[in-house]
Amino acid sequence: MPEPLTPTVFRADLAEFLHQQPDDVDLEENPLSAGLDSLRIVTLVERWRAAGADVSFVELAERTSFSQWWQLLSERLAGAAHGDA
Amino acid sequence: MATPDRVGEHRPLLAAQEGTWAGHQLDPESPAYNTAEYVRIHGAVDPTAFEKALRHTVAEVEAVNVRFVVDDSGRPRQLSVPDIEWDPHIADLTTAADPRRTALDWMARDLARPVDLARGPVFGHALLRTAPDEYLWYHRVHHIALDGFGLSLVARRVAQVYTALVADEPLGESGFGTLESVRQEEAAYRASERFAKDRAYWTERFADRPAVVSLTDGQALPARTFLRRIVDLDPEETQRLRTVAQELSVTWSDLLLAVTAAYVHRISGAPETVLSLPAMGRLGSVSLRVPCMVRNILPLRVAIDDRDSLRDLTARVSAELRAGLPHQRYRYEQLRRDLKLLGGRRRLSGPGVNIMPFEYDLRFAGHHSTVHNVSAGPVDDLSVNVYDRAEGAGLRIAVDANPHLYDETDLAEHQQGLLTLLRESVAGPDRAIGPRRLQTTVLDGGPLPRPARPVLNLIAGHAARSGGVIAVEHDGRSVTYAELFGSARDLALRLAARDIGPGALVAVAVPRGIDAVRAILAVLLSGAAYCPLDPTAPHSRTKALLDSAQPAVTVTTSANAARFAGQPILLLDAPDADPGIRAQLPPSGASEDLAYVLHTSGSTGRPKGVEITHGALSAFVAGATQRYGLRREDRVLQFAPLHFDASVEEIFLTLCAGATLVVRTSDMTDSVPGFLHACDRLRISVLDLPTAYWHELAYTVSTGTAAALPATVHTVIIGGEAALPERVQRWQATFGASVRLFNTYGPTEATVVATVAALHETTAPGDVPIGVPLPGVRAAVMDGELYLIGDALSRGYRGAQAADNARFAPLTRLPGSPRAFRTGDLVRVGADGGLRFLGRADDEFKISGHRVHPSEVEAALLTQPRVRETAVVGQVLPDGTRRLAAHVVADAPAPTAADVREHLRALLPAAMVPSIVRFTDRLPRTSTGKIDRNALTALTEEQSPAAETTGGSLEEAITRLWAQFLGAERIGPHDDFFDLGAQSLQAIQVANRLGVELAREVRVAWLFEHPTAAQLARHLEHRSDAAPATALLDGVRADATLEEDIRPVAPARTPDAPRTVLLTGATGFVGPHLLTELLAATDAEIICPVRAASPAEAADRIHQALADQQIPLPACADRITAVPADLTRPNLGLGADRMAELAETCDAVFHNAATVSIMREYASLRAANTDSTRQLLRMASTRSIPFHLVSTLSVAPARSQSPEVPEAFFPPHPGLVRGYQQSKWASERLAEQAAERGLPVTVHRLGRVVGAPDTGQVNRRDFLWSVLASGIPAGIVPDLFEAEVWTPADYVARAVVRLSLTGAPGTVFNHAPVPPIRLADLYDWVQEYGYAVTRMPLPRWRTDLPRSADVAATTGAFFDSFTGGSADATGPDLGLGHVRADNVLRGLEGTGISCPPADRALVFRYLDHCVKSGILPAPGERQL
Repeated sequence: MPEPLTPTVFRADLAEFLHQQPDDVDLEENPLSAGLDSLRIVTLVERWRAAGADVSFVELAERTSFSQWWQLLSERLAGAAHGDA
Repeated sequence: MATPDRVGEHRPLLAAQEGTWAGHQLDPESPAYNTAEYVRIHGAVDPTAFEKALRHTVAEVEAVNVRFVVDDSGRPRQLSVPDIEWDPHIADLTTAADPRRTALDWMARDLARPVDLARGPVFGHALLRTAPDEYLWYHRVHHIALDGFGLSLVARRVAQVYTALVADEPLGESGFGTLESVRQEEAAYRASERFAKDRAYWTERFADRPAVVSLTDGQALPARTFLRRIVDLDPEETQRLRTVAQELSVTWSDLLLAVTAAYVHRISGAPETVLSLPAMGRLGSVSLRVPCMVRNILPLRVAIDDRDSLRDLTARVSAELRAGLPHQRYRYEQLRRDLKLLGGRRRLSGPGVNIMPFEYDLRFAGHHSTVHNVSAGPVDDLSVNVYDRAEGAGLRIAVDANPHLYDETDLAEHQQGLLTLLRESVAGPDRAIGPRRLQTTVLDGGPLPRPARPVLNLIAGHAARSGGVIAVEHDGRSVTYAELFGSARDLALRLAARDIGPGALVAVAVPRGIDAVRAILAVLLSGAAYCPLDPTAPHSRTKALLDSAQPAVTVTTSANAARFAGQPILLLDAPDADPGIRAQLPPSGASEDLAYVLHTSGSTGRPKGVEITHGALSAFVAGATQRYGLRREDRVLQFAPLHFDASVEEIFLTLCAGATLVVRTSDMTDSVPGFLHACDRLRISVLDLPTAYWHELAYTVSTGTAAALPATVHTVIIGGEAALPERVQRWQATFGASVRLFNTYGPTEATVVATVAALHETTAPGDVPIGVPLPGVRAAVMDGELYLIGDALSRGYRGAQAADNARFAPLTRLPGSPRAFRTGDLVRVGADGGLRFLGRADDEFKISGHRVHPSEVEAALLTQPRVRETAVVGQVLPDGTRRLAAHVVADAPAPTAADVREHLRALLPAAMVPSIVRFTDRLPRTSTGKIDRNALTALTEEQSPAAETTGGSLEEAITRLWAQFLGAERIGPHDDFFDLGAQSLQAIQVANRLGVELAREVRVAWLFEHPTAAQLARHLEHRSDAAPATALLDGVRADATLEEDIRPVAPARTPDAPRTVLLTGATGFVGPHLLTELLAATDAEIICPVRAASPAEAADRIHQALADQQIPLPACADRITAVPADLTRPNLGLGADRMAELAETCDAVFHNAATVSIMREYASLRAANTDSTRQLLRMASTRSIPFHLVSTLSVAPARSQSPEVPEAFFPPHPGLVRGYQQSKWASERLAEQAAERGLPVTVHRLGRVVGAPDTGQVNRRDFLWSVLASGIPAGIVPDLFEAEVWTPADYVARAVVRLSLTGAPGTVFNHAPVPPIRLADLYDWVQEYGYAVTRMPLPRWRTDLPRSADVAATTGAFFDSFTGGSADATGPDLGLGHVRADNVLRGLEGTGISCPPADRALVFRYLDHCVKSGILPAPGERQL
């Protein structure tokens, strides 16, 4: 059972891929400028889908800040939780 | 708001597309930019629904509904096209023996077809059923339209639409964005601060323009195909890789990048690698939802040294990526321009690593599928493509390679090497990647049959046991073994009396003869070592050697004593004063004692004394004696001067075998026949000759006239330099195995000879091995260089510096680290396990990225019949230009330099063809008889100024154009266009302009290969024989001017039903059809001028022409009037009266006659083709009657000049190179002027006219059919063109007559109403008909085609004349752009006249006819 996706986990996941400390992750940064590539995004997508957020690569890749990512992820998580209920 | 492109609208290309377009222009006939993948659908598919889904999706993808055109300035534009005509290929292959193989073969064939961007479609689809419940959906698209991600978007949508169709649900929206939105985004980016920042990042990161290394030193233009090797990592291995990546805090792609970089380092040894990373370029972009081409390439620098571990490297790769990725939008092509890294051989990055993380999880109506890449586009060098396959299946690694640079073996080796390194580093991520592993091959000569015995013991034994046998003979004198040994002992005692003994060195300066042999033996018997000096050498040389060797005494004769004034000497011919002591000889030399010191000239010119011990000498003698099979009955000629080590072989092998040494007299070598006679007289059985002398001898004896090899000679040993393959072949042809011929190789440092090849046993022509090591010797080949190991090695150089002796060092890479001598010679191991000598490592010359061994070029030169000897040297000009110069000795009649180069071009890469070929009577040789390469290099340098001068005007034309396009004031002849900032597009423009100015073809690729004006001019000049002179075209232009007095009377006659029609060319291939058609369509009398002696003969010829094509004589044949005529003569040979009469009576002219010859010059065609038109126009003008000219589509410019062939008259253009084209163009031009003056003219351009379908007739004089007729029986067919228009003769006659009678005056008709037939299809059908044919490039076809058959000879001659003996590998450009035929189609609308398509059935009918009429053998019969 994967760890539930929370803001803290989200930040930690990003930090891992950006070679930063979680506290140093700037959520307003553009994923492209932060140095992510498509493979890293695909890997994150797989991880977050496993945690119940039904997002696609294109949906993440077209967004221009990490905070937009979280917004999308939290919507999808809520949707999933709703669907489960 | 970005809207979809409107149909018919021209749009600029995206930057990525421009890059692809420019690349495509370098070789427009290349299919390299075709990318393709197939989706294996695991389940049943409804083909109808699938086709519907494909058509629906294709219509939704803007990027593929396009054509590409060029605007007036030469810039490419994208034209949105409606209703692209295309059909998917849907086939059920389940009945094939191996359906999947069949499917893949089909894909390979489809992929190999070039796409015409001007015409399209740029894509193709196929649905192939390979099992009852398995379908392969194949999707090909030109890279200019879609990139890999674009393909995936299309695939997803097809799956979606198909699924909806099957479920009968709404198809929904595609969700695709517009191309315009991508263009707008790109424009905004280019204007943004981000763009400036990105540019700053990259130009700074690459400011030092790092050296780019790869797995090969070679570079080549992109090939048309690529080699691919695929390996799948299993899930466990993939998991290990992922786990290690995670431990290292990187992704698996970083890990693969690091390993690839490390592998490049391992192979190249370079401290830095620059990888090419294809980047999706879509993050944060609207293009995430647009199927299009935006892919970019990131250059990734990775510094590496041998101590780095995988951990170090992945961290470095990851950091470099994080720094570079934010700037990934900046175009790679732009960066190359910024850095001036375009053209020539400049590179920004090396091998590619393409990571494909996108596993499409596509379901087709519920069925699972897997995606497989077929082609990822052109491969410049080497590319590692990594695909992450469906869940848990593991990674797939496909390594693609440019076949110009790698062969299958190289590729397999690299793939294996890469995998091994991957596995090693994943197993130990903290272990150093380790230094480059060099490949070492060891050849072992095997052990000596018995321990080597000291030479003095062997000779003493013969003296003791067979003392009466003659040991040495010279000039009528001889000594027995007993006498020789006895006198040598006496002399040894005289030396001993002077305190000469072990450890001392004695110079021997005695002319060849019995005394010399005695002196040598005496020195050895004294325990000292001998050092031979040439008694005839210049004083300075003698002094230098004495200084170097420091002999204790010099043994010489009174005659030479003066040379050694001031040195202690011992005179052979004068007794010493009695020293009063009784000297004693030491026991014979211990194996570590020196036996002799021989001098070689070092690379610095300072002589180096090579010290050979008794142990080395006896090891050599034992090994060589066994190898040569020397016996005591033998009589061995002593040929070599004593200061050559060949003399050691002759003297010691002979005396140790108890045989007889026959010393040659100095006059023996005055002439080769004299030498052979002397050998005969002396009953020589073994000849040991310097290779250079043997070359002369082999030449003489093989011609067989002047002299023969004496019957007594059973063995010839040669050595000293590389034997000429041509002489070896002559020798083998003369003697076969009857005379043993040993080719030897060996540096003095390894005691005379190290390897031997028995050339009488080897047979492959052109192959001259140096064989395998002697017993007791081992040869190690490392990185191509030869190392020798064994007891026969020298002790080292006398008194030499450590640097020199470093050549003798333990070979640590071999077990036991044996002492080895590094020869500096480059060799390779042949398939037979024997060595081949390639040249000196020092002579190796790098040019245009190629490592050139002059010997390879020499070997190629020597394959040319009249080339006898040659030497090739590399040279660096003061301006840094590197080039090769060939010095050639040729037999009369000597070939020209152009012949020589042409010959080489067929055998060698362009860079290896010498730019200078100099003929000479003899090659300079050093004092040791070897070719003096230094002297040759100097010669080349002296000559360079003259050689540099190229046609000034040509150079000027090139620089002027470039200056214009680059906005530069002045460009020098040696300025590199691309250094000056030239871009691909400009190169294309300049090539076009230059082509027009010079009235000849100038290919874009040539500008890249020859990036300075001087080089390009030289290249163009070398090809000048292929180009028409501008003057000739001027002549054509003059002929194409219609005289002022040819003016139709006004007004033109309105065409009512003609009563009399003049038809020329009624006896040709189209003529009979025109004739019957005119009879059918009109009530007119048809007057047919025919070349004949009488009216009866003229009528006969017409009847024959009809019969030949099985056309029944029409009922109204009485309306035909055949008139004897000759179109090449004034008044068409009819006489002025008859001509005037015709002018009065004819109501229309159909000028169809022409001499069709693709080989003849314009001058020989102008009367028949051009002047006849002029005469007929004059005749027609008198009453302004309609004039219809039958012309040819071959007057059109080639596709490279014009993407479209309009239905309009052409201005002069550079494509008019053949006489026939020129004559027909001039005819059209005349008709055009007449039309302008008011004559009702129509022009009908025909494509290839083929026989009427119902008869299946074939025009056997037609060019294509003659090519087929010669190629098919030989099993080979050439790549002539991509596609061409075919119209059957009966159809085209109907169309011409109808359009002539109804068309508006001045109209040009291109009779191309159907899509062209693709050559690939034609050849496929030929195959299916039952002929096994192989397609090949034209030049190879020309070479491979047997020249025996007449038809083959003619066709071959055509191509030879076409390319004018030039080097170009691609042959004539026979391809036209898109042929417009709107006038024809409109004119025939509603007439019921329609052209049957050229399909498989039609081609089969033609082939039937060919078989029936004997043009071709029936399938299955092979002509010999």
